[in-house]
Amino acid sequence: MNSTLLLLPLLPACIASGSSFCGNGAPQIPDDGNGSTTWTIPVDADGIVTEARLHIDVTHPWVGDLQIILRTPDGTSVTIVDRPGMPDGGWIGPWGCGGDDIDGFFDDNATIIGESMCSVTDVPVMHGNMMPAEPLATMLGLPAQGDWTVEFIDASPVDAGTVKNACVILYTAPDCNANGIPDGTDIDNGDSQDIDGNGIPDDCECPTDTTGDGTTDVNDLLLVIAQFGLGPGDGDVDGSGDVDVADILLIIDMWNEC
Amino acid sequence: MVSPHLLILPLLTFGGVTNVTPKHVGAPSSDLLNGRLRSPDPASVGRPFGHAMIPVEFDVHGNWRQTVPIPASQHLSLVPIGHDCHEWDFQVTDPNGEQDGPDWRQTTGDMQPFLPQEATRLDIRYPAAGDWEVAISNGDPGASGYLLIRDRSGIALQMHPTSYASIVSQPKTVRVALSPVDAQGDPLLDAVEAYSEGLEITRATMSWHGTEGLIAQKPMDRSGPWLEQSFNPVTTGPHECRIQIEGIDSQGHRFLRTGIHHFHAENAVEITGITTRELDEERLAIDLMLTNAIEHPNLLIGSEVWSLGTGGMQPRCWIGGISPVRNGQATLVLDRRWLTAEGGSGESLTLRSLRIASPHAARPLLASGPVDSILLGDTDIPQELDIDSSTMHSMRHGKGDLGSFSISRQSPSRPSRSDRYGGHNLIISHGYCSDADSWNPSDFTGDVAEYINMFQNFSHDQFAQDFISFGSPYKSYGLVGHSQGGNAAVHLYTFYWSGLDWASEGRLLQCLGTPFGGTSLAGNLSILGELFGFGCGVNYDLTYDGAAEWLSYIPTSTRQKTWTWTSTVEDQWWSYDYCHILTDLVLWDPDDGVVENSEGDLDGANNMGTTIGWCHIKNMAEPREVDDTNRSSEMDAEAAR
Repeated sequence: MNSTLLLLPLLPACIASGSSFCGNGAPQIPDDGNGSTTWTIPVDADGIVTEARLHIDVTHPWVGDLQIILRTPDGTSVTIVDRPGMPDGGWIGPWGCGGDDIDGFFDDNATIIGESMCSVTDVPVMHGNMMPAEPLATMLGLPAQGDWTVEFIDASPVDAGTVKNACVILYTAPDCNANGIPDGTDIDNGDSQDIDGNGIPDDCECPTDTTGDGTTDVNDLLLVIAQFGLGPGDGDVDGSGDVDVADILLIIDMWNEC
Repeated sequence: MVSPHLLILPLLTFGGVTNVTPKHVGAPSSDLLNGRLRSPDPASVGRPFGHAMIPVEFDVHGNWRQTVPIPASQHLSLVPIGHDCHEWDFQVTDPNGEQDGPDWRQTTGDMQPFLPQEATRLDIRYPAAGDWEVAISNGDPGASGYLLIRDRSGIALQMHPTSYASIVSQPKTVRVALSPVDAQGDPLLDAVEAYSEGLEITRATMSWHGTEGLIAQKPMDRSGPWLEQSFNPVTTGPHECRIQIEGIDSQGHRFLRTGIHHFHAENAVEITGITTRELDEERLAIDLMLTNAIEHPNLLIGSEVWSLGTGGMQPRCWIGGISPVRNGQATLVLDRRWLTAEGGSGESLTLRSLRIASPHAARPLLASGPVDSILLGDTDIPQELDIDSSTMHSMRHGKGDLGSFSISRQSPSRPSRSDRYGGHNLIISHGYCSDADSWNPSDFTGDVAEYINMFQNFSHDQFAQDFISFGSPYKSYGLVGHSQGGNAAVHLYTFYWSGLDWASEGRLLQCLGTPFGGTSLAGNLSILGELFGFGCGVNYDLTYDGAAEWLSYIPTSTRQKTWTWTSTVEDQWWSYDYCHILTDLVLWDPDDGVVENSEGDLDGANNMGTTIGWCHIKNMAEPREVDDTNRSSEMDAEAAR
């Protein structure tokens, strides 16, 4: 795994982390539809995907031959490249884009569609930031952890290529309630409470269970009373900095609920 | 490797519809200043006529006799031509009563592929000037033919139209004059100087012919040293103007010359309006509203683009190409980066010398000729420009995002292949009206596709589109074209996107014996075709005029990707020193029997020179030039694919 601090300035402000994970696999892409090569990218990252980008570095003398498919650990797939210039792309001709090589980032936020970047002269013909053939947004909310794969297919005769590198750049966030929505978003949207303001939805924890015995009961009430007016402590259920009436009312409100 | 896809090749090649996308051609102002993209003066085009074709008509006894004035020269050649001419008795008597001598030589030779029989040719060294008697007997009573005469007196008939346009109901004027020429047919004096030195046409007739035969015959009007006559075609289609003149040289010797000018009359197209629209931040579309354009699915358009800027009002670029006509509208595309690159501003953007033509032989369609000037107004241009190879490519060829159309015409002849489906091939092509006996694929290594489409009379545009259809099973290709196959290759790369654009580095367009400047045979010998039924008909792209007008749409960027070769025999009089017994009398030396070497070179191209000892096609005096394995090996090794 490679940490990608350089990519951080690109991160949306609300996203806590972004990391690059690169894979390995057989470099040669079998020609003319005779199978494929798949690169596996192990991702060790908690939480769910909030944004994904894919970096591909492939040498191929005829990118119109290529299909590239990204798959998440749960098997969700997104077609990144689907034979650029195919079907018959007008001036490009019946065999798709004949340009050389792909070396760039596929990113939903790019302003140019990767497959539109056909050129007789540019090498690599697909470069920079490019929109994929299908949106990577399909993968948002899926768990990041596990083996991602990138499959490379050469669907046309004669020209063959080599994979030099394949990396996913993932931006993740915790999703303690496993609803596919980042915890912070759940809280911001009001879909989850966070009465102690610690950023963790209350449906993932029990702030009124001050004794940690798994339920809110008379023991928690007694602890609050014992600490009443003493400042911060376990009895400060709402995180206000003091143990007061509000904490007692929360205990009562949550009685036996967690 | 044999590909399993080979099995479906026939379907791809013969059955489907092929997409064709025209390029938006752009060229720098240097292409205007060097004249390559400006229509040449018709008076300066082509080669003059140094021969005479005299009609032969046998009487009821199968005899024909005529007195023929011959000037002083080093060499006189006569060939009677016609059905069964190998059975004719041919007798010539000079002014001194001589019928033979040590300087007289009679040979027979094969007239294939022009006529399926042998001809007798009489060559006479230092012929006496004066009236010669020519008698032909043993012909079929009532049959006809021609007597072809060529003297090397160095006097030639200059014949040219005053305009390339041939428009129905508009006068078509053809002008003739005499001038002394060198051995290659290049004028040594202009018509005025030659006239002042005593070279004069004393009698001239001009006849106009259409598909129905003779339309009109008129004497010609004198205009200084020139004679001219006009004709108003009333129908579209093929026409020809035949001229017979008798002249006199400064020594008082009389001589004959004949010439033919072919033209194809068209209905005029008129521009009724012009609008511009932004295609993107770089390009401006210029829409031309046209009348009568319905007859033309596509039009060939070209225009100079001028604007204010460095040096004031200056040409900044040339734009053109083949535009589909939709709803009576054709479109030019200006990449405004040309204006920036050439020091122009966007002020007073003006089209000049706007031409609209048929894609076939670039036949002009504007009744009043090119439009001198059309002010489009001001436009925005990029202020700074980083011209890398990608930018320049886009400026020269466009972006390929407008105006595709489909063609259903497919190669009817099954091609011979040692090709590779989906691969990067070298296409080797024959030329006009081929019987498919052309390149030997085994002279080429690697993946080679032999284009064969027999006995076709394609315009360059039709030929190029047929290449697109033929090449559709291949990702990319280079082209080796013999004769008109070379013209078609150049046309294809200039005007359409194709596998040529994806070819590797190397020689993209390799042309052997290609009549870039046209060939006299497209005109002169067509008369024999009509009479004797050989050949595939007149090909206007291959006439001198058609070739010149077509070439004036071919930018330097294409020419730089073109390699040319020519061939000839070693030309020594008194031996079998010509490629073809018949065409030698029509062409100017050196030639390959079909194409004069001077017309086989292309200005701005990589002209690789002339190889001695080869001729254009089979049945000529030397082996056919496509069999020169040294050249083929070089073409093969250097080819882009």
